[in-house]
Amino acid sequence: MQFDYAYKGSTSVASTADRTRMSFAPDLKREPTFFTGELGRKLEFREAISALHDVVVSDLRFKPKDKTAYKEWAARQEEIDWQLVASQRAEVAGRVRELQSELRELYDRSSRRMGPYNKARAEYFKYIYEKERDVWFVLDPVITVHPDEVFFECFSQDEASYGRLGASYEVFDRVGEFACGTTNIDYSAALYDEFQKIRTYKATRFEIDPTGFDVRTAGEADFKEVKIDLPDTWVRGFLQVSSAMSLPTVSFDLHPMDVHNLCFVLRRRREQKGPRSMRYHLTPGEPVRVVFEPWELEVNCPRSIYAGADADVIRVWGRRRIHILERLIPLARKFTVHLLGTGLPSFYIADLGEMSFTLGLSGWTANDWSRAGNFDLMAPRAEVDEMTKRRVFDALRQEWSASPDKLASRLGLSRATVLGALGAYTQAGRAIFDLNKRVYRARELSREPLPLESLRFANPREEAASEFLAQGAVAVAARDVDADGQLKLLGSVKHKEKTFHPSLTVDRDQRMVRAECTCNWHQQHKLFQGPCEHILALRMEDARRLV
Amino acid sequence: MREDVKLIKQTVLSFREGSSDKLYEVDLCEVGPDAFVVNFRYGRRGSRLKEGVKTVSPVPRREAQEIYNDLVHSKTKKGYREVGGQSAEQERPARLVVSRGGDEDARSRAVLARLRDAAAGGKGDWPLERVVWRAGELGLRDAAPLLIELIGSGGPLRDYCIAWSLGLCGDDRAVSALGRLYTDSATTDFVRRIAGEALLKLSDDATRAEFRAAIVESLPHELRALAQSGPADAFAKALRGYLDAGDHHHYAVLDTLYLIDNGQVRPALLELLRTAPLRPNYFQRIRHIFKAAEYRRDAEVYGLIAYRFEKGRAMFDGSYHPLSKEQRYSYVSLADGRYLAEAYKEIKKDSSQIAYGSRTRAYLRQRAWRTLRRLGARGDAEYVRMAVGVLLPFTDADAQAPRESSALNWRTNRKQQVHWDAYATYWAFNHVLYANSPRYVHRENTVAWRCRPPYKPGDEEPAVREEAFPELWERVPEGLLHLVAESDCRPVQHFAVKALRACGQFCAELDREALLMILGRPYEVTARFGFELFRARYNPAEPDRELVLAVANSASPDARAEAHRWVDERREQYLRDGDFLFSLAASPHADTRAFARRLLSSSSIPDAAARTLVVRFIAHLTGLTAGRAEEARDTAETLLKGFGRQLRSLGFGVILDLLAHPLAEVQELGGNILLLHEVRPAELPEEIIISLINSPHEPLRGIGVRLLGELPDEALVAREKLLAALSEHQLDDLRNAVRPVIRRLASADADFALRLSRRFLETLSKPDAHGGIHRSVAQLLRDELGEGWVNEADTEVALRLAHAPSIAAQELGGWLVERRARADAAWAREFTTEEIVQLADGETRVVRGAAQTLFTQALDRYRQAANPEGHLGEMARAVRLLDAKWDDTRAFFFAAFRTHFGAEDFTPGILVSVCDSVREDVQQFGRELVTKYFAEEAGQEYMLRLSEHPSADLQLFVTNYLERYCAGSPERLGEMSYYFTSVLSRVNKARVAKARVISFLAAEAQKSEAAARVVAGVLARQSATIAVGQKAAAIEAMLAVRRAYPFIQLPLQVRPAEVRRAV
Repeated sequence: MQFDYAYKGSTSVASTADRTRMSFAPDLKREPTFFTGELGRKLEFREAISALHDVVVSDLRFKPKDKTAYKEWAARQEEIDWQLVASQRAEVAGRVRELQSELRELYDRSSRRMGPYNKARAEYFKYIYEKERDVWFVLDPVITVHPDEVFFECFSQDEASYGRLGASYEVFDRVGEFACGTTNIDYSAALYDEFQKIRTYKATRFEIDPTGFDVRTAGEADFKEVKIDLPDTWVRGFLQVSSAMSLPTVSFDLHPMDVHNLCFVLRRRREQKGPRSMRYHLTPGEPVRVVFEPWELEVNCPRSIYAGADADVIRVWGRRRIHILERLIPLARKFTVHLLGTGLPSFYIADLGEMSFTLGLSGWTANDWSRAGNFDLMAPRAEVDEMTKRRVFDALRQEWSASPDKLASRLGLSRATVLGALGAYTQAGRAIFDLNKRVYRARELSREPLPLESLRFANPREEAASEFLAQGAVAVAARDVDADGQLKLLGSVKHKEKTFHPSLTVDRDQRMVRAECTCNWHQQHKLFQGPCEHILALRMEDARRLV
Repeated sequence: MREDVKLIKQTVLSFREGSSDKLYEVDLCEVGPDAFVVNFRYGRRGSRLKEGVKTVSPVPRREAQEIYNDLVHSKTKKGYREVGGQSAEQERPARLVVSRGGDEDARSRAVLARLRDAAAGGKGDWPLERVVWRAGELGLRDAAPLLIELIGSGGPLRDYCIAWSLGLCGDDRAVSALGRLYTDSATTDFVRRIAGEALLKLSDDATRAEFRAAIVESLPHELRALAQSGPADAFAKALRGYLDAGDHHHYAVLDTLYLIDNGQVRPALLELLRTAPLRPNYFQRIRHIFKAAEYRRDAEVYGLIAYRFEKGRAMFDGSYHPLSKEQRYSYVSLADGRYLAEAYKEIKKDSSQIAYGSRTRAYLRQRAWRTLRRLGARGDAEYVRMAVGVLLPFTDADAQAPRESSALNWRTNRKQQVHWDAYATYWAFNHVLYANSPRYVHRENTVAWRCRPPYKPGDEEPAVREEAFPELWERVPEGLLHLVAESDCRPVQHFAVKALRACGQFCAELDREALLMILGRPYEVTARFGFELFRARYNPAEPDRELVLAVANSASPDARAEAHRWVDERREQYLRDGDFLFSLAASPHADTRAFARRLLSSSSIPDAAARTLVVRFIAHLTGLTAGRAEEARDTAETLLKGFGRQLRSLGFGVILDLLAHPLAEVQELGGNILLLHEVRPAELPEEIIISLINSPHEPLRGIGVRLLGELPDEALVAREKLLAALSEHQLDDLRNAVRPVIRRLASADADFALRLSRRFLETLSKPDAHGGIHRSVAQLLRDELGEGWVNEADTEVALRLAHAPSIAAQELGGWLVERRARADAAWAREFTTEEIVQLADGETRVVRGAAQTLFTQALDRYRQAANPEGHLGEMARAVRLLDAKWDDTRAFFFAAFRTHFGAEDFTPGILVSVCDSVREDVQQFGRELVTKYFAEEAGQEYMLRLSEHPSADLQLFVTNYLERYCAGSPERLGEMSYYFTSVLSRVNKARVAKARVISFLAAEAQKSEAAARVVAGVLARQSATIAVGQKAAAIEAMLAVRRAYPFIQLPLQVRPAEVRRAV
């Protein structure tokens, strides 16, 4: 999906001994949105915006180590050893050793001579990397100005973490003129370094530069056109996480040191094998307990009492992403955790006083098909006609933010209708649910509306699977958990006159490790292009029955 | 605390193993009276070392010494060391071809006896056909009557042998017998053919003519008249038409034509033999003619056909059994992909579709040599003629790439390298040339002659004679001379020359024409041989100019050098000879041309003669074609060097012709003539100059620009646009060529230089479309356009250049700033600090260097003494210089800040903002400055400000100030609470800082209630950690607080101790 931006100049942070001026260059192609103010809560802002940066650059996907150099060396080693084995007679072995030492010396000399060259080359590549580092960022953060707060949103490179920093106007001392709306801001790696120089004793001016809009017709060379081709999976991931926010959640508060403790466990240990989940044990009236698999290590949170009504055990994966919160620990008053359920997105909201930082995590770090099936997040919540939807959204646009109840009473609609309409807009990236203040906010992710229909499903098989589920054509025949904790499912899916018999195995990390189906598509492709619609439907059906 | 750190002792350890090379430094420092700390640094050699602290708080000397020793010991235990200390294969004798001599008479007698016996009806064991054949070979005149008697006694084969033999040993009586055989209609075709040949051999001229005339009459009518009276080419055409028109019967005419073999017929026949495919229906006739030629000793035809057999591929592989009589094996695959069944039947047909199988080919190739061998063995001088015929068709084009292969010899278990030279596959050729060679050998059952180790292709050839029957060649040296004159094959030339050298007498008598011929051959060996012959009879007093010229143009470099010397010695004599000079200068050899050029340019030739020569040279040049560019270049040079005066007045038409010549070298000559012509460039039509500038050839473009440059200055200044366009031309040679012109004009006309430089500055701000233009333009600005624009340039121009996208422009900008700044300090001071900061981060080294110069020039701006009002603000901006991303820049500014500024220039604010950097080395530098210029009264400010730094190193640094500036003040404690929380919240990091903070807090809590409240707040929050050490310390501190101030709220719950009892 192509995103085009135009910036006037670049975002710049000018920092001297006594003042800092942050001037963000907004996207000029969008409706004018600007804001200026003097920062009041400087350290909090510094740490929060740094955490947001951590989200932008976060990439915890598995990267295989580059072993070519080692393999070359090993091959050479092997060759030499075989020569030794082959040489039966002592004198030959002696000669081989002699040659080897000569060879070793030659290698040494070669590496000595090539050393400066290799070093210079490495430095050059490093320079190129540093110079072009901005290219590695996927999408510039989105900034939204609302009458009550300014907020930044971003999504990580690995399509797994979402960050939102909301700053209410109490954070700013002298708020100047502003225009509400949403825009993208030009963002670069050097900015992070400048953020680090924010201090309480430096007057810090924060502005989303309005001057760009005055000269937008001039079209000088100073304008920077940016075209970004975002993968569909990225956009889908973003929308899934943000629409997950509007779903009912299990929530509780954690003491800042509890988060410190969670990070502490993860910093001290590295898991060699699965399962790699973190289990929240929630019992009403009792401290929250967090258990780390596979060590079954328990962290008790005596100062965080679970206030919910029902006991629950929820597993979440991709736990190393919570390191993003580390910098917020000294400043946070508390962390509010929202969990949707096992294997579903989770949210951590740091309460920084007048600011709040929301970290949204998708179900897994790797959003590949072996854990697929999150398309339910994008399913329509309620049937609402187009006119009503429009009305609800226009009402929201008027006030920029509103709670569903307020909207319902103002428009004279039922709460369910309003929620359905807002859910649809959330899924389309045009609205967002603010977990912190529990209101819906109007926020257009992109200049042009996103093609929701093409984004909902990753492929036609997901769509077909959702139809099977809707028709009730899926039946789970057997469900069996073995000694290793692996779940085996057997079932049938009716399609017209035919009945297919899919079966699958899910390991303790909820990863689909084996799957079979009697359909033609599976016979042809096995799992090389992902599971077929029947396997997907069977898995979803099982998940639904558990809930 | 930190400012009076004294280093007591330091140990530097290093560790090297494999690719690992690291350092470990341990310091023992004194920080106060009996307060010592142990610090360490470690990391890879050459990189920034990581720092660490062993002592959380200062300890007494003894304790510190122990920690120090333990650390050094533990590292030494881990392996750290203190920094301080072919057997050549035996050459076998060359195989000699031993002629199977024996007793000639005994053999003749035996043959005759057997023939007599046969004539009398006897039947011996010795097959009669062989005896008959042998009689012919031996030329036994006595056998002829017996042979005639035997005609018709056996089958056609016997008659064939008898006819063959009679032709060789017969007399008049035999003629009539053969005539009968020839005319008898019962005689088979192949017998009749040989009988005809034998008749031709035995007849006298008159009979032969009569016989041939009779045969001509038997030709088909369309060929008859042409065969009699020609012309030859008409006959060739008619013959081709006749062959194309009919089936295989028509081809029989070829046999007849070879019998006729007159001046009209032979050329067509030879052409056909050279080109006709060795396929039906030609092949059968070619084979007949081959045998007839062998019989007739027609060396030319024989050699030609033998050569065809060497080169022509067999039509099918007969080495297995395609001609087997067994039905299922007897098939042949044809070229068009079809298979022909029953091949053994097919090949016998007159109209056979197949012929020339691989076995036939092998036989015929061997036969070519066998005939020669038998001649040679008999000592027959005919051998030489026939061998010449066999050798002559080979040319250098028949050489193949030398090949090699290696095979394992199973007996010696050694790898054997086999080499084959360029002509290895030719059978008769190799036998004739190398039968006695020490370097080539033929192994039985192999296809080609291989090299005899250690000889390899390309090695020096042996001095000994290598050919078969050397004495026969010596007997007929004319054959060798024939080869020298006509062979275009290197090994043949080498052989012939080597053999000729052995014929001293013959060589000494060779005439002038022969010498000219030998010298003219394109082989170095041959030419050198000719030269040696000529040198022996060279008379310096009266040299034969034609021969000297031939030597000078010969293929041997030594000979040419000698000829040059001869000419040089008597140059007056030669300089009068225009033809000689021209031939010398137009020689095909570059060294001779160079010699002629030297000769001509160093001597004076009368004007008239020189003009004639010039005309001849130009005519020669105009005639040269694309492949001879080098000759053209040399001749042009000769003309330019030797005949400058004559060229100056050369006709304009001639020059235009030269300029229009397809060869670039000739065009260049035209251009060069224009350059020295008496007509000056100003008078030339401008189109000529422009068309030269637009030429695709680089030298011509250069000439064009030079001509342009010779225009008078006024004219050039008027063409400013053209000059500017040339300076920015996409071809770099044009840009380079126009540079001297620009330099000249610029130095003469400052306004012109200024105008041009403005235009060039404009160019530099636009993208460089072709690459390299910016570089040239920048060079022009820097080196050629003088000072004018430099002095005019303001800071804006300089900055624009320095920040331009192209590197050339940036470098020019850097250069400009550097130069102006050094010359004009006021100009340098016009740059603001922000601008210097930007320049210091430039991508180009020159720009960064310029920033450094600017900074040095503007130093006063940052000094309190010189700029008491503004220096703080400037300094605050200058701090960013230290943050530059380039190592060299940072190093420079570190040094500059260290040396040029003193305590009065640094306020705490400035120093803290140095520390605020995110770069670790800058932070380190900042800490160094803070320590150096520490002002007691500002200590508190340092502490408060530095405590906000997010980096762990700085946080640790701040712990040093806690005791002094934070102790005893609850307010300050409150201000610092974020710092405390931040340090204590670090996850699994900052052990020392945490310990220091907690112990500091615990101590503070005891001092006042207000302090205790602050501490309680911090500890209450941090005590929720699960890090055991920290938790314990926090609880301990909280307990102390509770003891002192029990009313302060703390998350402490005293649980009654659990009592456990044994049952």
